[in-house]
Amino acid sequence: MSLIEVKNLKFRYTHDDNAINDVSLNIEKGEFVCILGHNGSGKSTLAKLLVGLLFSKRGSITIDGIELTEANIDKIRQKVGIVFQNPDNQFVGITVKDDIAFGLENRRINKQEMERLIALYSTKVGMYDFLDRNPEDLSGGEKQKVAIAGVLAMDPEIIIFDEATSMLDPKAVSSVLDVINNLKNKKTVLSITHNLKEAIYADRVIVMTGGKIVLNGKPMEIFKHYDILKDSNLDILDSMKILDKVKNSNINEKEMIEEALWELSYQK
Amino acid sequence: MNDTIIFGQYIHKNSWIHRLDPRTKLLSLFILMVSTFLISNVYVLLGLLAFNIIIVITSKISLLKFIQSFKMIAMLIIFSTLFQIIFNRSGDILQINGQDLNAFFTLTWLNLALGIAILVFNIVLNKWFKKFGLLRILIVLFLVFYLQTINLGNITLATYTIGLYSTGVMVASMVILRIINLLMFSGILTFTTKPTDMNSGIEGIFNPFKFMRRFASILGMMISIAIRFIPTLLLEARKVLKAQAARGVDFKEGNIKEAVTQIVSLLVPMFIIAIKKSEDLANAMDARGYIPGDPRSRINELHYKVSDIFVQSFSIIIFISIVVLKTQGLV
Amino acid sequence: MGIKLSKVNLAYSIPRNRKNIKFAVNDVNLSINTKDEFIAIVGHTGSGKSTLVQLFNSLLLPSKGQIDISWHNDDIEERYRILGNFKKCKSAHSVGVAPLKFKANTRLKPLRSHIGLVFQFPEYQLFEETVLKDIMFGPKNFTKDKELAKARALEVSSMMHIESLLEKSPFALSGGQMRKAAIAGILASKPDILVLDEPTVGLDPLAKRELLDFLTKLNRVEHKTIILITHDMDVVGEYCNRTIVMNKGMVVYDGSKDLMFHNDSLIKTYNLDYPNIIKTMINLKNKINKPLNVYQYNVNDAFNEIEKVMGDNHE
Repeated sequence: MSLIEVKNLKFRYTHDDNAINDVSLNIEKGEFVCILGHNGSGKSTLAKLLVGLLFSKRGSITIDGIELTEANIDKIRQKVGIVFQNPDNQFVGITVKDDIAFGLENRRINKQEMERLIALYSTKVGMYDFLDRNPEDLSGGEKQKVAIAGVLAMDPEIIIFDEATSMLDPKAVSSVLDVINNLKNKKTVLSITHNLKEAIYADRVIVMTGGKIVLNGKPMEIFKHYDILKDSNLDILDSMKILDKVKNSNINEKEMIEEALWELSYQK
Repeated sequence: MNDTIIFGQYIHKNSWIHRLDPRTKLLSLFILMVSTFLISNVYVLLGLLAFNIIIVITSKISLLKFIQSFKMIAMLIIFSTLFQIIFNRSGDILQINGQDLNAFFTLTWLNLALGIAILVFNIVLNKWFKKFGLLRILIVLFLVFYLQTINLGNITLATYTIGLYSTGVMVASMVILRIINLLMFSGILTFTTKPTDMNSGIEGIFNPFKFMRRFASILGMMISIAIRFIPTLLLEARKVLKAQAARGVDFKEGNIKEAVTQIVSLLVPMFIIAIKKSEDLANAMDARGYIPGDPRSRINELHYKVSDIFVQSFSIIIFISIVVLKTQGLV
Repeated sequence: MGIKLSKVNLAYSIPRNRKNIKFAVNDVNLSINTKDEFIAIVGHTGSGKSTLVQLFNSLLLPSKGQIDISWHNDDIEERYRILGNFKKCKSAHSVGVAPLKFKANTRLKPLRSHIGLVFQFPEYQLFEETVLKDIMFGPKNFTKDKELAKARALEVSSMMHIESLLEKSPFALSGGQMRKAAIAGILASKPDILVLDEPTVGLDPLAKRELLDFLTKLNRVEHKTIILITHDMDVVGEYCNRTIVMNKGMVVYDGSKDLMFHNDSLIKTYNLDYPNIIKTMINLKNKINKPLNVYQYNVNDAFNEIEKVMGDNHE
């Protein structure tokens, strides 16, 4: 039995759309899965369904053997944590310390244990020295790291990152990605993004378009489907775009060039 | 770096008052404020003021901050004082060197017109010359009344006298002293207590009452979120203001209709921003297991210390003494 | 003709004793033409980029220095000179905007229509009942002529291909459409200089390319000067010709983007990056050991360079 099992999931916001149009997937414990897709592909809707912020009557979601329903959402929430896209709008506490404590307070963890967990996880994301700061004084990347610490402190098995780097500048993106990629083999990670470069770190890549899964496999296999990736409106690597041109050309030694570009594409 | 509002006016120092439990401060200061209302003796109120000043000095907060807050209600003080002095005619007339402190005022068309002219002049002057606003108002009032002591023009509208009566002066002083004392108590509270602690304090006070616990907990969370987001929303408001200014919004120009559209151009985006933030925040809180009203542990626990018990008892003793003295007619 | 900044400074806030003042914009000298330039302003977060551009359209006024702005309006030349003044300026962090009435009888409002400033996430400025009304809002404020404003709005809408959206509520649009509508709202006032702060953040690749191609058209066909604040080096490489690098409030580089990317020590010192194309070409060059000119700024040029160096297999 897989850790996460999604079977024939369908969901619509209004009668006219098909936000999730028959999605089935399995995710094993310890996997680092990247879900690629652009606005309207259904990826954020899927994330919300997996943490019980939305519920669907069509299809099923099972997490660690427990079927996800409104009744047992509390049990599910112990197993799944989520970090959202907007660094500011998910920051609940008045200070960094208060924010990391928020989830722990909800679980009624005692003060001593909270202090220990806060110290531990704020250090892990590099925010230990910022515990007394207010969110207005933090950058986007710093706020996202606090959000990650807050989720880690609750010790869920699964962590979902819903476009957690989309609103950050390049330096912050790499800083936050370091933290996320560090979780590989320690947690089961679902990283939702539209940036192909982030997919290289994943064990498996799932590509979504229009509410459906169009590709599902290892990064190297997925990258071969250049046309599908292009149609899915994803940020394709320049090396892949050049590769596509070289493929359709008559250049000398083109196989050598193609292979070199290939290697560059999945170079970390 | 920021010159936005220091939210809640909290000033960080390390004094015994800063270290008191917020519940103690809330309850004691509330009791003391109620006591202030009960006191009818001017001299006791003066003593209370002296007591307050000593407390402020020990709190390491500059008295200037308090004086700034007095400025804000200066109009109220002036109005109440004038009201009492003019209309309170009980007691004895005060005298200086055997002379009754009395003034005869004659209101004629001419000095009415002159009075209005001076008032309008001050308002117009205010547009260009904003300094000394308080001083100018006092000068205007003085001139308006002085003109009525001189008999100008021949068509008399009314005559009246204003005298300084002992009771009037007494009551006016009491009003001023009460207001100042109340302001000082509330200032001591807000300058020495962090907004988060204030919030924990309010929740803590309601906690013993089981039937109020759910409500107190939800209220506490709401206040906490407000404290967290007000600076953020101010920043967003500033951005919206600038974006619309780049589109020609100009509050100094325009007729009423344009002004309305311009205000709408700020309000609508702010609403949308606030709603979007609320939705995202609610999702985040939900996902982290928050259930409104349910019991939660607290990272910022409050603990009573010896100093708290001392201060709390002191304020209760003062309150009881004043009540007792009042029933004896001594206060 | 255009914008000229001479030793311009803008303080974060003005402490009482006028000592130890920290400047958001520090001793900046800059000249920008009112036509044909395509400039990228880059630099770390907090380097003063957004603050600098707000000095262009007088949303903020300088503490020290002088700003000269001029342009031609048919046959008339309009000129403005703003002198730095600690008292009258608004510090970088204050609430509100600089007053439009700067000196008696000198109104700075035309500056705000002549230099269009599009903030980050401009969708947040939309508020009217219909997209058309919202696009008209700017021109109505500047010209006070409703008919003229409507004409301008229609003109811009057709230029941006958003006519079909005009009768809809701005809030019924998709994210990309909202952004177009917001930019149209600034363009409707016919600015010669258009400044955009991170205009492509949050857009999908298709919408991003569409917007940048549109800006290129404005620049090449309508001869507008375009200024982009961006972190995206790919955009800088592919679209801009001049780059201004800011660091801690100061301008540390102002020149051709090509020269900038050739200057490795500059890139390293100010924590900048190269466009992904250049990085790919560098890696490719090292891998295949061929004399590739790595300084290419778009996929086509990169491919052509490879083709040139490798030679063709004509069959």
